[in-house]
Amino acid sequence: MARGRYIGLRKRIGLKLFKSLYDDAVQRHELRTLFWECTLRCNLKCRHCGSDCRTDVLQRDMPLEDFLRVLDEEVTPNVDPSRVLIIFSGGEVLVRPDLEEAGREVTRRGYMWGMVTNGMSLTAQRLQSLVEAGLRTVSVSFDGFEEVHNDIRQSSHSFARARAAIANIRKVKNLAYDVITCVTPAMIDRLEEWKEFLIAEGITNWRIFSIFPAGRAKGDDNLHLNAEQFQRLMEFIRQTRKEARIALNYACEGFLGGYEAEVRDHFYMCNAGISVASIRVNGDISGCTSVRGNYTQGNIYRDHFWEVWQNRFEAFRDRTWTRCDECKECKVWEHCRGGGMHLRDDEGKLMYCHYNMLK
Amino acid sequence: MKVRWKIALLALLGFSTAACCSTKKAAKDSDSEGQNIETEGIDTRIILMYGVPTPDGRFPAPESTPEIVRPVTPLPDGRVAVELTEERAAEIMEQMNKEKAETEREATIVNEVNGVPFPDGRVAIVLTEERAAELIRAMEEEERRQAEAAGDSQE
Repeated sequence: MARGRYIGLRKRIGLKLFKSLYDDAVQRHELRTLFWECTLRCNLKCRHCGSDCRTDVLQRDMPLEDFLRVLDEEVTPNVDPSRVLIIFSGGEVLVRPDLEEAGREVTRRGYMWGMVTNGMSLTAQRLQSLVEAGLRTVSVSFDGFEEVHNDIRQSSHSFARARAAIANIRKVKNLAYDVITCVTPAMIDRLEEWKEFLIAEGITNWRIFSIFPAGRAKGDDNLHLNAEQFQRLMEFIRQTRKEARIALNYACEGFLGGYEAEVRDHFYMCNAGISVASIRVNGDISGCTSVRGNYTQGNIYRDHFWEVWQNRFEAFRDRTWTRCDECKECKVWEHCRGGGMHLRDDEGKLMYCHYNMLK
Repeated sequence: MKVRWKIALLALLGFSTAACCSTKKAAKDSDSEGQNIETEGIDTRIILMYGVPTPDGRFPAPESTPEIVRPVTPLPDGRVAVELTEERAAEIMEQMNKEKAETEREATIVNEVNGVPFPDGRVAIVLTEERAAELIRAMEEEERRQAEAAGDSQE
């Protein structure tokens, strides 16, 4: 039976308990993940890209020493580095020639680090040098069969390169990884087939997300799932998790009513500003890198990172301000808290509600 | 309500992974058919939209990772404190578990020999030859002390 919005008693009790754990997490706001948006340059021009490439292509990469200064002077003295995961993000991180040096430097300071890549230039040799520089975890975008992936990525080689990169990653012992599929209408009817393909490729960890209207994807209606397709996607994930042949999670995009804890390992929570911070390419300090510009809390070239992390981020930690418009009377607000911060536009309005997509 | 109670309740409700105290992972070796999902008790974190999976902290860091060197402070008697490594801690735990198991096994034997445990939960201990000799010696010593004390008081 399809879950939809209905939340049974057991799950409601679970959500209540989780809510108080979430409140504890907000109060502690322990920094556990730090994104470093080290570049906005990219070797692809994907149709669904969420980055602000329209204006930022001329933005120069942040010099490594600027990031390390913040790490040494403002982060490391206040955290246990072994408990903080640093994620290099972009753009496409592999366009930076000093990525290995950056990896070695953060590893030397006791941090774990990982990266998200489109796999275009992740050759076996490059992968080896990154692993030697301390790479511990990696995610590769893999959006569907060749024609679909290449169409979204706007490159005829992207599927083959990503596939080869994943094959190389699988060979590395002790390297955590997953593949990320951005599900579009073109793939919704082929998900079973795609799953079998991934399993046959030996992939064990898979993450799915769907498009939200931001960045380049905003004006491309062919990328957005309708309500019926979205619910089918949820059912597919639920069934796949039951089969337990591949570990599949839906990304932390929004509250999912009856599907909570059935399509992800965890209940929904937006960790931006709670345990996740980012340093953007221009030095801006924010929650996760998906969150748009107006939620910037400071800038490393002007402010002290740790002071910002401790004393600002009010909009992230007290989300009562989201209880307006369609969220005002919503009966699941206490669990959803207005959805992910990345789903809010510059004026604070909700761009997309996952719960409303369910029937 | 304490955090641990909340997590325990969530686990009882079937949401142990939701409480972020464990996670399900597919078997690493994908070449084998019929992979099982194994549950591991690790502290996981939510995989962010553009994030990466959390590396398993138990994995050894790559060889290039420099070791963190901590200063060694000698104790007053000249001995040197040794850092407790994961391996050493595991060894100690194993030893403790062995000893515990041994004790429990002995208690079981006693129970089998002497019947049920005492109502207050105490368990009869097997009286060995050596222990009996010790007890006799202690009793004789006690008697001798008492006799001496009595003699002193008569004088």
